[in-house]
Amino acid sequence: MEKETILQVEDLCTSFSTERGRLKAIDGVSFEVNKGEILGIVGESGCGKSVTSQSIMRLYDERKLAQYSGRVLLHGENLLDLPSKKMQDIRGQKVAMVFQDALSSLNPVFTVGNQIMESLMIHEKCSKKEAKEKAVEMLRLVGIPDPARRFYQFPFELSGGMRQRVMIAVALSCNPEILIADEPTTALDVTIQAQIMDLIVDMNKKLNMGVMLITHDLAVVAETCQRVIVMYLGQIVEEGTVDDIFDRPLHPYTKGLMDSIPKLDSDKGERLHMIKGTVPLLSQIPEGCRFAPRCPYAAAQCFKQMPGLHEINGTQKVRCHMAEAAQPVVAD
Amino acid sequence: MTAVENRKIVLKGENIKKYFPVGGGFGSKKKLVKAVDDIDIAIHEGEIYGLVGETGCGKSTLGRTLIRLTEPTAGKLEVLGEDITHSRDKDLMKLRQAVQMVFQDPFTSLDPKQKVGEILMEAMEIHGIGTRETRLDTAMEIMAKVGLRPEHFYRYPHEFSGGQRQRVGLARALILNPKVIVCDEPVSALDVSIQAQIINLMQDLREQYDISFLFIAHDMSVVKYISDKIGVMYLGHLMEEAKTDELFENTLHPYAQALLSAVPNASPHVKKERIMLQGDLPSPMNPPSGCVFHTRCPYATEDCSVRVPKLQEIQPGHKVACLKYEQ
Repeated sequence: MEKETILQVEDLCTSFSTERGRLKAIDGVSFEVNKGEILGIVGESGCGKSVTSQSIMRLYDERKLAQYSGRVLLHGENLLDLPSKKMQDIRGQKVAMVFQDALSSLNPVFTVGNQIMESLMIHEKCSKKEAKEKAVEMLRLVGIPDPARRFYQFPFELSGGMRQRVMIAVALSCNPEILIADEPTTALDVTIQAQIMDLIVDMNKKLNMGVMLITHDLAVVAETCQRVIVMYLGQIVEEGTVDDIFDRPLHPYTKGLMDSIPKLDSDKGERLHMIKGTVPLLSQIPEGCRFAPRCPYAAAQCFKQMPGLHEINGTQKVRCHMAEAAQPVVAD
Repeated sequence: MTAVENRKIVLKGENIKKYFPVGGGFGSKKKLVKAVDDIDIAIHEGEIYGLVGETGCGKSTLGRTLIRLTEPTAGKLEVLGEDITHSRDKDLMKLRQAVQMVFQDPFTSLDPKQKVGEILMEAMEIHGIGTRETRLDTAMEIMAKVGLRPEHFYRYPHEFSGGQRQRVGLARALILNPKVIVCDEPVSALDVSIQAQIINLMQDLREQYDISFLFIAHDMSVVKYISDKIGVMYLGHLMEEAKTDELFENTLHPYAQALLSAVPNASPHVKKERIMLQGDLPSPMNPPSGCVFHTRCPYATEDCSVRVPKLQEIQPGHKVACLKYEQ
């Protein structure tokens, strides 16, 4: 299948003004999202995965707080250059987002039907009647039973899983080309999580849109994504297909993450691998490779020089001096 | 490990019920939420008992009721063979010494105004253990055990990361040398690499001190990894209980089957058949009649909506509450 790139992020940096000066939350992030694929972005808290997604949508206050640099190209058009009015048209229509906490993301004083209609009337210029029909249809599409009645309910009247479905209905109502799902199932139970992930995969196939799935749950990524990006301290440290990342992780951080989760089929009594230390503060970013102080393989070079993100084989990129040096063995 | 089930029972609950009254304001009728409804549970010496279930199934309430953080509505509680259901004052203090708790959220369960050292030594003071000097030594010793450095003694909780705070939580639980520790979602708020550190620490502690754990969690892979025995709860009832391997290899209850099938596996090559449950969890204020699971059960018969299944031992050590398996 020929890849059609919808979203291309090039060297994206986002920095925030804080009491401790300017902090770069993400630093030189580049990747692309293709039509019909699900791209997973994983990493621990504070690695910049959410900042990446919110920067693409330009959700931070640019006058006071945030500063972007780099390019976010949607079909070749740089979103970072657009005037904020134009950006408003992109949000919701071309790029839609689903957040972790549906209860605080939905408006509590409007019915769920109203909230779906709102984006349809703004973006698609639907009449009220058309919008209502379409909203009910959307509720049915995301698997909400009795959509005509649910249309008139408020978010607090729905369960967590139902609310997340409503969020997805709002996001998909204008047929976006990209859906950014930021920890869509973290607050949900496993049985409900399975339902919601199935829904996202299903919608991805039906509507053939690109999906960016941001999560810290590696198991969810293994089950749903085609490609994976691993982030650490505001940088991409490894990128590859799901098989690359799960079968042949090259970066020591990725390996560490993989080994530290108990697997359903892992042996008992076997100790879990630990990554030593903790994630440093953004104000204390180590020199050289950012992972070096916690890395079991770190050499002198790692503390001096920041490794670049280099392609190792056709699909896999890694930011590590050691992996590059070991490349002939790895390619085997 | 020697057969755990032949060892002493350290914590036991018989027919535990915990009902919370709701409503009852002007003009509205008082209702009861049956958070825990008639549960039998026993934890043996040196055993890690994993308690799983979805939000609102009553697993936390059961954990808290077992150590009398909340009073049971009915039932009998035993710690180390002693009936503690109605113990007061001194007897209850003894219970508190033998049974400790670690909470989910290490950010809210530590007193922000107390230094770590004070948090640790307070428990010993209350129980009148040792002198000031020996308390200090014990606190330092425990801190070293859980991987905290001596200088942390004079720090406040806010100066720590989530993982370190959970270590403080564990240290506080350990300081009175308990027999059982009830852990309510101790690693859910932590990142995976930190989670691994805490899980390893808990296993070390179990081996060194022969402490039993009641491990309440919703993350099935963590529970499977750490527990010897697992109990599956649904709407206040214990649906199935078995040794960990037995439960995963030979799941009997339809709810447990669905729950286990929904757990994602961290390998892209394992594709398994999921059992999708219909609908949402019913309200515990208005639970279904008969078997509480019958509204979502794919095998439900008419009988299920009338008769309440009892938790019965189907195979040695494997209990299940389902009419399908009742003779």
